[in-house]
Amino acid sequence: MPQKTSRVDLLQGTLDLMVLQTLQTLGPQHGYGIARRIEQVSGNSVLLNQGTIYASLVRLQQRGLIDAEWGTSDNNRRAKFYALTRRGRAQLKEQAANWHRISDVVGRVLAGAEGTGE
Amino acid sequence: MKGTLSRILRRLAAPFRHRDADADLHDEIAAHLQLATDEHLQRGASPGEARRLAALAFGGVDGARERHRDARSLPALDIVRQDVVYALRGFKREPGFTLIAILILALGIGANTAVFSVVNPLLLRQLPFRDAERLVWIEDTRGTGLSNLTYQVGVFEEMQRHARSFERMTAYFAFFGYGSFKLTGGGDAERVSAVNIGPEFFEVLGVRPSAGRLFAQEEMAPNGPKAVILTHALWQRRFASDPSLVGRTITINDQAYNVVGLLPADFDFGSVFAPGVKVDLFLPAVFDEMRNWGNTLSVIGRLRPGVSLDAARAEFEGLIPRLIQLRPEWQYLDARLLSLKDHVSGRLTRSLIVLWCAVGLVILIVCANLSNLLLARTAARSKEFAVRMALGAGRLRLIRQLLTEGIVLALAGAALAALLAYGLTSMLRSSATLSLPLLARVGVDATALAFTAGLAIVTGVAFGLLPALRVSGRKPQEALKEQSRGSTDGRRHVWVRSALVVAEVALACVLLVGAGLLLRSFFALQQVELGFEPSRAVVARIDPSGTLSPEQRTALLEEVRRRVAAIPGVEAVGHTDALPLDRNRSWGLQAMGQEEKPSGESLDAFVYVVGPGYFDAMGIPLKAGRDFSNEDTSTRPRVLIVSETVARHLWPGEQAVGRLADSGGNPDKPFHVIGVVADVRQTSLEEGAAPQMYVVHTQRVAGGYDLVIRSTLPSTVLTSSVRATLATIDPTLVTSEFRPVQGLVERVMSPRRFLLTLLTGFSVLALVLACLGIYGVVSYGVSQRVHEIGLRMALGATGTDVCRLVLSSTVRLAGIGVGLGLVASFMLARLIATLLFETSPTDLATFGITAALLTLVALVAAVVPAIRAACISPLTALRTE
Repeated sequence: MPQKTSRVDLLQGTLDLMVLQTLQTLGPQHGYGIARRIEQVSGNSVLLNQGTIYASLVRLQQRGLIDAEWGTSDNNRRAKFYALTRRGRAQLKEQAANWHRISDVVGRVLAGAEGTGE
Repeated sequence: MKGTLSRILRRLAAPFRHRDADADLHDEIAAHLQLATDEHLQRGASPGEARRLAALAFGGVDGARERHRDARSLPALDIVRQDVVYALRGFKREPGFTLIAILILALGIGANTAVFSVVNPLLLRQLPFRDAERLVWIEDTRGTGLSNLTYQVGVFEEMQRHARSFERMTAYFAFFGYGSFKLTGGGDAERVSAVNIGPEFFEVLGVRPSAGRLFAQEEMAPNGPKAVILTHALWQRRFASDPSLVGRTITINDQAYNVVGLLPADFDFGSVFAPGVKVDLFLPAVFDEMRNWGNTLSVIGRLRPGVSLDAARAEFEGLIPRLIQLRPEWQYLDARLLSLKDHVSGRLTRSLIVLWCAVGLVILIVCANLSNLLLARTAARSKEFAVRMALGAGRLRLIRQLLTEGIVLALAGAALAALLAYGLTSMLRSSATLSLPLLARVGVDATALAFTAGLAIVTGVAFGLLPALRVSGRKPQEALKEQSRGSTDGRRHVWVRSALVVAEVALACVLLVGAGLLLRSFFALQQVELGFEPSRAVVARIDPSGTLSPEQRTALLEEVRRRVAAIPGVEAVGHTDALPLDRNRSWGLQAMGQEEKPSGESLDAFVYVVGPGYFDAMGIPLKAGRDFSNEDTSTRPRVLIVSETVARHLWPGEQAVGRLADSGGNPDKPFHVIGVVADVRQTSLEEGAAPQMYVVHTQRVAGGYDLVIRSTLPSTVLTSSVRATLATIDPTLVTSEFRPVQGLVERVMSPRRFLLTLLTGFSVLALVLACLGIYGVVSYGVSQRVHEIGLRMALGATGTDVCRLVLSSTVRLAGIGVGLGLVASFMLARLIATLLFETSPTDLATFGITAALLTLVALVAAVVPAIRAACISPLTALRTE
């Protein structure tokens, strides 16, 4: 049980960041579009299934990072569209930079570990 | 920052907006699936296949919804919501149980709220003055009569001059009730009650006029401009809230007074300084005119900031001896310093604490009772809980569920309780006969509501805890397997419930003993020899015009007496300036011809200025000598009638009639004792005989009088004919309603009656609850033992045997409770000893009757289950398995 929770937690933050980045790239988009995009880019390694995206969306919405509005899709279907807010954009910038820094550091440390192992 | 706050708010609100959010999510999921299906169709899948693929990719809809909910709200709050909804659903299924539980809670919590609403302004809150904790009451200590609690003007001025602990000191004329103030002009003549106040009276209290100003210095000086300050109530009632009244003059006792100020609506002199007395206006106390009047002033001081009451006491301990050295006649001067609040409500403190403890017991009984009810209910629901546990509900979750149910019930009860308490306190507030200080401030306010809510939650947890721990402590498989017969758990269950009932009975016993002791005191007090006969007598205030000469006043009063006495049905009529159990003042009195005693040791006797016929009208028996008569005029030798106590003290073992006495150091004009009358209760019913003396109205002027009329007529007939008769003499003479003399007794009994009524109410409630508890546990016991009883009957026991079995076990239960209760009462009764009158705190009769009553009630409660047990058919009992 606890093991599972921690994995979800790890994914949660990552997923939120990916959603923000997707909205940055695509512009306003509905949940399905966002889910598809993440699936395509990540090769199905992030989402358990497409339904998972909605918890992330509501969380981001409550933090005021994205806005939502019902609208019409390209093929004329009613759908709820999400868009980045100003705060969302700022947050994305900050978190992306943060992420790069961390992954950079972690990557270097891991690379170093490989080196000494040999 | 703002974002964080609004996010928290949104999350807090989320559980209550589930429906909207869920509906929205539902639409969104539908849209998602539609879009996915469209895409699969485009790629050439068949419609069915497209929908299947879309659903597959989406995953579980319920899971998504659950995660969505978790994300948007606080999970803990969500669980609370679920618990509450679940609890409500359960209560809806059992309306009978719910109703009884809420009713019991409403009574228990309501009693607590009501008592809190009384206790709060009297004990907990400060007086309604600015920085009221710095106000101090200063009184002399020579006795209980007002003359022994007050100071001479000179003493007050010396205190004021020397006392360093006080920022300011002030005083008011304590005998204001004797004064006669008649308001005329703009309506009927009306007697108003006025208090003469010393300098800075309102400044010391921190009361600001709502209009106009306070008294100026020249208005406090002899022969200064005549000024008056009105209370809000008088201004509203008599002057229709006329805003232009300030600066105009009004007529009091045929003299013009300038209205210099109005007081705010929330200032009520009577409720603080003289409970039950309504004060209409304030006049300056001209100290220079009062200098030789003896003890007249009640003194109040405001401590300097940072100075404690103890420091002021210490200062006065040094100050009083210095004052005594100033003048020889101050030789017996003393001072007691109390916080003003203690002075106001100090005498009630013990009653109120007893009352508070009593409602505390009531709520404990309520808790025990509901615990019992809930235990029965959870026993019936044990399978339900077992199933929930088997399905993965945690132990904590179950405990939380049961506690939530308790709190929900308690809060529902509390809502009803608040209404109940509101009604009760409104009734109290409007009660005309209850003389309690600060009564107007008694009410269910925000503090009382907060107290109620807090109490409800504590109560809910308290009575929910036992069932919660019991349920959660069991293993589900055991509960699922359990059968009623002979299971050890069932037996332990009976044991817990029996213990609760024993506790209930014991608590009820304590309450009943307390109420019983107070009831006995109340009866004893009603048997007290009052010294007068209150029934069949009425009294009204008469105020002869202030412009009459003493001779004219005498003539008027004699005319009144003659005319009223002539009304058919009137047996006796007479007037007095002070009634028993009402206001009092005392003078020193010495027998002439005896060695002169220093002033502090002379007899202090209550003084009454009366007219002939007063003793007959009041029903005060004449023990020796004669009543005053019309022959005792101002030019004749001064005459005096004394009470038996005075006669016994001054002339022990001798005839008092015919002796000479001196009062006020005037031996050239001694009083001739012409009669001895019975002692009359003056300051309270509890206080025994105090010395009393009566002088005749022709030889001593008084302001206004109370006219006492004894008659055989119904009071309405009597009062209308008396009013008509007096109106022909002077239409403005009578200045109050006629009221029964019995009212005087009722008024002094009222705080005791108040305590007793509430305590009896609580005891009855406790008794009913204990009865219910016993019934519940005995019925449950019988239902648990159906098999055993069936077996006994099959082996030859008769219905009577079974009945006896059940009843004897009940008596055992009640007996333990009563025993514990009596022991507790024995220990606690000493705490109310000071509230008792001629009743021992260990009064055997009270204890005995309580024990008998409780046992009887227990038996009554057990009769129905006992009969049910006796009717058990052995065949059915043994077959039901």
